[in-house]
Amino acid sequence: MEEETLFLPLEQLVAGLNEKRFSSEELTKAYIERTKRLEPEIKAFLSFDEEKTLREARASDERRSQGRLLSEYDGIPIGLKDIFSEKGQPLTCASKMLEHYVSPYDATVVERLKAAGMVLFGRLNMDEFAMGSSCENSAFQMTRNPWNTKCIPGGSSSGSAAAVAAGELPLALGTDTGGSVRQPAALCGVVGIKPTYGRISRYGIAAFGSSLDQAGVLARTVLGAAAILKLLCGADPKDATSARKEVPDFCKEIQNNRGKKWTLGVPEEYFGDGLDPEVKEAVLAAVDFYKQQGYTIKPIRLKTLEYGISAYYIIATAEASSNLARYDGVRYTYRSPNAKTTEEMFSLSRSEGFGSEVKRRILLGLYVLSSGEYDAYYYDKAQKVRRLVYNDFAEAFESVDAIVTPTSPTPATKIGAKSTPLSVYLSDIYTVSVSLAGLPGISLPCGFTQSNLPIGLQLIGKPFDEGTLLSIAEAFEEGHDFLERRSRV
Amino acid sequence: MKTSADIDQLAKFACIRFSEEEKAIFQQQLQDMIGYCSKLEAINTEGVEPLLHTFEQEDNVWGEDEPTTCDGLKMLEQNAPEMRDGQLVVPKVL
Repeated sequence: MEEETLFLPLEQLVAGLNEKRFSSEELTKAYIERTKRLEPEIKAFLSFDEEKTLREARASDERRSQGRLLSEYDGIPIGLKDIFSEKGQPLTCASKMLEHYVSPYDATVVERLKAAGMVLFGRLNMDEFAMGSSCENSAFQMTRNPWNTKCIPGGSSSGSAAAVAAGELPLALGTDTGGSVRQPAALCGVVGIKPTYGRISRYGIAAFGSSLDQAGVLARTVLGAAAILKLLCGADPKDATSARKEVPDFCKEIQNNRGKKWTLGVPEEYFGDGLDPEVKEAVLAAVDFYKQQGYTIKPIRLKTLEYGISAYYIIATAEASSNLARYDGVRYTYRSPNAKTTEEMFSLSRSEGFGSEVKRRILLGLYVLSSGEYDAYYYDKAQKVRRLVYNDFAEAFESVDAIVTPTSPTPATKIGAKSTPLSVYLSDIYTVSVSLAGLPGISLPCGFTQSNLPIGLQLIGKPFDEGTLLSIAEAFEEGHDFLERRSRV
Repeated sequence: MKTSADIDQLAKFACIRFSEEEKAIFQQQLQDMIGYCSKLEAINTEGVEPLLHTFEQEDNVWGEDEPTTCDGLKMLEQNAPEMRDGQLVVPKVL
């Protein structure tokens, strides 16, 4: 099979299977071969069960030969960030704490992918417990950016973005708490969508910040992301915070919306100090493209931007400190061999099992939650600011259909370039407010720097209006040929 | 409002042990972060209701009270650090 096939958009891979140009087994094998060749350089996968993957591909071919396909996407490979439970497979969250954990059940999203007959293709690297934006916090390995292996791939869905960019995979799932799908998508030059909070069940996904966590899709094209998103969305009795709202056919919505002229908001705060000039130029060129297409461009204000990082890190770490209390060395996690007492079992297991960033966030979370001496002042304040961030967006959406911003203030930086935790946190500035407000956001390639690093465009939508968001994103993709560009690796 | 983190107390809450060297580093990093977060003080939130989450649903989530099976023991055995006779082994409590 030609390597070029591996870079085809989802709908063409589906057509290839339907027209019997290749079988699912052949396609999966070709991705496996390419992955094996590139992995020494990219390091996107934490584990890979080749036998299981090929078994699933052959089962799909069997179904196809009997005319009982489970869905349009039966037989298409998709990778999972190592945070989703897949029965019988490891789930490490890139942490020593879960190094030997094997999932006893399927996450709801995994059940849905299986029900659609998709081939589950390996476990992808991430920042430990999804805490980070660079992959530098993985306890096991550093995934490289396929465009320049000296650079970070972004994070925390680092392996998911890098693998799709390098053509190791056509699709991958990630999770996004403060930008962890959108930012690596931007830095690796692929499409990444985080839907509205509540769209996708969180059952079976290791928790970080429960009021913020959402699964998302990384794909080569907007249509590919839309198709998989549709499979994942919908109410789930196992997650009371999954929305009982109708899930539209996003691909159809995109088709029906073609040619529509939307109104886009451009918030001046997102183009101020700290934004890399090449990123700014590319994003403003994208705004210009929409204008030329007949869209109405409206300057707007989102004044709470500068408070987003503070509010986000207070809320996310507070929730994380609580969620991560379950890792106690008793039932299913790492237990320190040096523990002689119960107290040591807890504290030594946690001290040895968690990495620095996780410990730092637990400490910060506990600090902001501390009552009495500190009166949980910060936590309370952050939640009030969260309301203001929400209101800010709500007001903007009274007059626009979507908001256009950069995804990340810079293109991928060199590994190790950011020396303090705070400097890393600040790189999430454009994505965290969207998460605080629970809104859908998508990142798609909108250009390249002179040193050939991808630049991401972020579109922010109204709650549960992913269809409009995807339509606007697809209109941009259609008008450009960024898909033709290939990463160096 | 006090803005200095008592690292020893937080470590106790977190159930994590730190060396003196680690404590000094984390103390500084926490201080930097808390310092940065103090910019929230500049924003007027008087009369603003805290927003705990953005999930809106008009009614409660109800489900039929139907028994289902879940082989918890088998699920545990796969991942438990130490088990004996179907029970988790932990260091002596008393």
